[in-house]
Amino acid sequence: MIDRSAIFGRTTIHAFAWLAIGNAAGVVLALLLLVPALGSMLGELTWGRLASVHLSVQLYGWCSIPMIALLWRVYVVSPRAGRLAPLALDAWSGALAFGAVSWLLGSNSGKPFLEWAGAPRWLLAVAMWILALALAAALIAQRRSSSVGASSLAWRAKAAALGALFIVPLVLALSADRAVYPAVNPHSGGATGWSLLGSTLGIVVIFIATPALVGVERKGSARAVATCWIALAASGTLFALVGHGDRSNHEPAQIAALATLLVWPPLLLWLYSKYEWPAASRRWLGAFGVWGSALVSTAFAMFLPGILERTKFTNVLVSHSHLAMAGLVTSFCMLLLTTLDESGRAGRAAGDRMTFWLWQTAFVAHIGALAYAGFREGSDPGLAFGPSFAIDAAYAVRAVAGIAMLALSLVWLWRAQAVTEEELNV
Amino acid sequence: MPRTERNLAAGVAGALAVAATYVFFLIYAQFGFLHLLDARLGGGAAVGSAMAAMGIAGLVASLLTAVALRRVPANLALLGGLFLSAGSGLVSIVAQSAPALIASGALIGASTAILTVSLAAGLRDFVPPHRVGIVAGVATGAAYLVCNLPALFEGAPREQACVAAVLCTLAAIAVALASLHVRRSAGVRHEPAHEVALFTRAGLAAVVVALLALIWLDSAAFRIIQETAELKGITWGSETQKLIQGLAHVAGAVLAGHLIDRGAFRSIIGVTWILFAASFLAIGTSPSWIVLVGPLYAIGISAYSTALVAYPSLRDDELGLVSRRWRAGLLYGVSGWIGSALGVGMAQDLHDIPNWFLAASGLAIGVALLHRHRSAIVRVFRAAAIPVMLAGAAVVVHVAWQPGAAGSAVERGREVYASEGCVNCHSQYVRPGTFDEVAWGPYHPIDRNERPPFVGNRRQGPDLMNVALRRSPVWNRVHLIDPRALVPGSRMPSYAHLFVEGDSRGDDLVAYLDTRGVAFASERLAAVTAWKPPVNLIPSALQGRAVYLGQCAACHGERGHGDGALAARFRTPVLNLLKPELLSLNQTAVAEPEEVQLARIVKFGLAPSSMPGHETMHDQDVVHVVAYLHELRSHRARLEATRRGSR
Repeated sequence: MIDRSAIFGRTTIHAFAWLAIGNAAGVVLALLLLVPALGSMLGELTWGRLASVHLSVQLYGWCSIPMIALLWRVYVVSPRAGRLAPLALDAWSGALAFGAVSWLLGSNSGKPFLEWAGAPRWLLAVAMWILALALAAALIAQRRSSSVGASSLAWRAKAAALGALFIVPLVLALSADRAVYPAVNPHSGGATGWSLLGSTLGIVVIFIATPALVGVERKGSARAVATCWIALAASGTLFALVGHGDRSNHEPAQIAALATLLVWPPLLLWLYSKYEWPAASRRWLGAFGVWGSALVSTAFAMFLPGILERTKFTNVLVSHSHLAMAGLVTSFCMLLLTTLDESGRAGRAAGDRMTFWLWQTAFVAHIGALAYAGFREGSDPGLAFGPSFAIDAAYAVRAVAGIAMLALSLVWLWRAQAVTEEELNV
Repeated sequence: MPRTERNLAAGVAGALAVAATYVFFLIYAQFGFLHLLDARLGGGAAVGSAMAAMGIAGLVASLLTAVALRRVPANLALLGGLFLSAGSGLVSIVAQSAPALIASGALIGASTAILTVSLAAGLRDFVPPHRVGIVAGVATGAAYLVCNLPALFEGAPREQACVAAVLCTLAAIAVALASLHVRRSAGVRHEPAHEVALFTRAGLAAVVVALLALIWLDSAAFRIIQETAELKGITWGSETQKLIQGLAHVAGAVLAGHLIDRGAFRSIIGVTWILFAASFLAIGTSPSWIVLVGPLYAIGISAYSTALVAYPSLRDDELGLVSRRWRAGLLYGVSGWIGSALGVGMAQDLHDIPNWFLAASGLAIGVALLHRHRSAIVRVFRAAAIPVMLAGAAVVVHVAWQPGAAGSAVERGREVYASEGCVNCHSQYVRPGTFDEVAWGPYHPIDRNERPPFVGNRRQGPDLMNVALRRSPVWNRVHLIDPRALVPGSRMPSYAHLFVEGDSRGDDLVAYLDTRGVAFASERLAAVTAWKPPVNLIPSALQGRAVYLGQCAACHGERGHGDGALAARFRTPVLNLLKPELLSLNQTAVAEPEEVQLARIVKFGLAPSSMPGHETMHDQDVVHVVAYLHELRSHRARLEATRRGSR
């Protein structure tokens, strides 16, 4: 029998461990850009291979595992239901570890964020299916151990969502196939307006559902919830109607479609303000709001003709990616972990004021330095290719900030496991 | 147990003893005496024998001192050690024969051991417990500063021995006076709470291992520096450098002592390793980093030296803890003497500190310092067992089931491009209507038959969509092997490992790159032909020379004769820029002013030769370089005309 508290504790430790590993890879990358000669010590572990590890570990480790915690919250409602949870967690981390080593050894699809190639590609799918099976077992155990019948609406909704989860591994494995390549904006070589709208709406669905799924208490009426779902339906309709395919950011319809995303920061902030969040989560909720608003507004600005040409392929885009991952997504993951972890491990690890503000300070320095370097590149495209004091200085600030963020992630990991130790001793 | 009531005089005596001990050891026992041996024995086996005698005597005497301190008071042993050290130094300078010098080595080793062990074990008899660290730090820093004074550092061994002997004698007098005047009373004041775990058997073992690793590293590094002119030049070269080193020592030692008193002993050890690693790694990097090598190394040395002398006295003898005399005896015997011997041996045999050794020492120190958390470490490893096993399986799968090199060289090269993650730094997409088309070649839509298209998100390096139109295979090969030789300041990693004998990956990659954009050669030529330097730019040959020396001289030579340092790496001779036929190579075949033709060559290169373009060079700099080339060529033409006239 495994209690829910132990499951959440284990999930928290896995999440923090991948954050630390991803940040460590990031620090090595930052140092290699600053002092390229250091690369001679790493042999075949060159920048390109390490970059794949950094990107994918952050995405499939740090960003994904808190989502698994959310699934535990929804599906594992009794101790018996969580029997397969540790196996599923180990399988997920194992597949990611297998993938990370494979990328270091040079097995790569060549598609950023979908680097899974060969055996790791299918191992990840298997790990995802094990997770889905663990959730299915939990769902069945829930029906057997309680009065909830198969006819219950909530039980049916969970079953339907689980059915969709079984398809995800296949979709991901197929997306990583080399023959599949998404639509391309011909003017930038990057994402189109409609694809950005669609992928963002997918994330918005998670954001809207989260307060209800994590079980925080709602204050007052459900008007904010209803408004968000209606707005989502409207946005979904717009997404279906706007032109698809290789569409340009010079097309007014694509720009207008993407502009509709600007309604989401205020709507989501309104929604989240209607819930009672635990004390340890509130700072991260604030950061979630600030960085989410910054991300959406800058994403829209950077899509506009004239601006995209100046920023695409430069460090402005790298800065923007970090705004998304180290800013918005990290805040959201922390919000999830500190709210969900019933043992309080995550809250005690990352709910304090000092590490929160240190992270925010290092993060702002990090993205600020990269944005500065990127704007310089925008006006002088060759600046990053050769010697440049401005770029060196920006990379030095980025490296120092990255080291600070790595240290903080290690502190959180250490604290999280120390809480487990205290509890074991008790 | 009655305690010594410390007073200022005792503290000064303790500090003086620490300073004298370090001065004797640093400037004479491990430095001046070695020079003396080299001078009198002319190197060879006898020098080795003398050093071995010193090491063995030091190790044995350290352990024997620890035994003796059970009955002999530490201050008495310290007095003996100081006088013996002063005497052994003076005796050694009059020794001439090999046996006498070997015996001197043994005597110096033994006296140093008695001195260090009795000092470290008895320091808290002179200094308040909460100030052991800072007193050790100030004294250690002062000793290093004295040793770095150019007059003493560069002095003859005889002078160094005399200075050390005088200081030891002064310290002995101070210790004797302090021992006579201190009163004993019960009670403890300001006993700091240094963690107990550091002084148990396991804790002592961990500290011994960690300091062994640091002393091993330091001894090897110091020896290598002293034997390598280039390294000596960047650390202890000039008088100014020596003084800077001395001040860095003071800063490192005082700070370390202060932090040790606040319970940061473990952190000091960890930080020292980081400083050592940073300074070693900075060697071989850019000049702006090399200046940090010496100070980082010096701060690290002083920090751990302070920890070494302070550690045994940080806590008193207590039940369940290792006694101070054994802390000192084992620390100096094992970490000190064995660590030094291993470091000197490494320097002699390898003349280098391998990176794997640096990493292994860091791991050993990390594990040793975290030993109190061993249950947590074991649990983390246990929790990570499945991911770690699967990661190991990935290695096995990779080794056992490496897909064989299949397909043509171009197809294999494409795989290399994917597996090396080139897409993380290089795009393959020219954005229509932007600067891209001028710099990187003509736009064409992505080819979805390519699996996958390597569009990319980031340009840490140039776009490669049309690289075959801009760079020759030979240039790409040289650049992949040694990027910064061709492009100063480039952040590209070296891929020399892809070009080792028996590995076709490098040549496959070059073959793949040589296909990028070949179908669009005519569009590229048209765009190049259409380009002209803006007419409003004012050329300056002087500024052009600076750009030329940075960007062109590596291949073309300082005077443009085609004899640069990299010229030999190309299969065909590098162009002599002074030859009139240079312009006949211009692809446009349109009669234009020489300045325009030269500017076009500088900007876009000369395909299909190995002359690369400088696509991101500012037009103003292009015009400056052309002015400089024009000056070189005119000068040459005038010379030839004069020569012909004189005939």
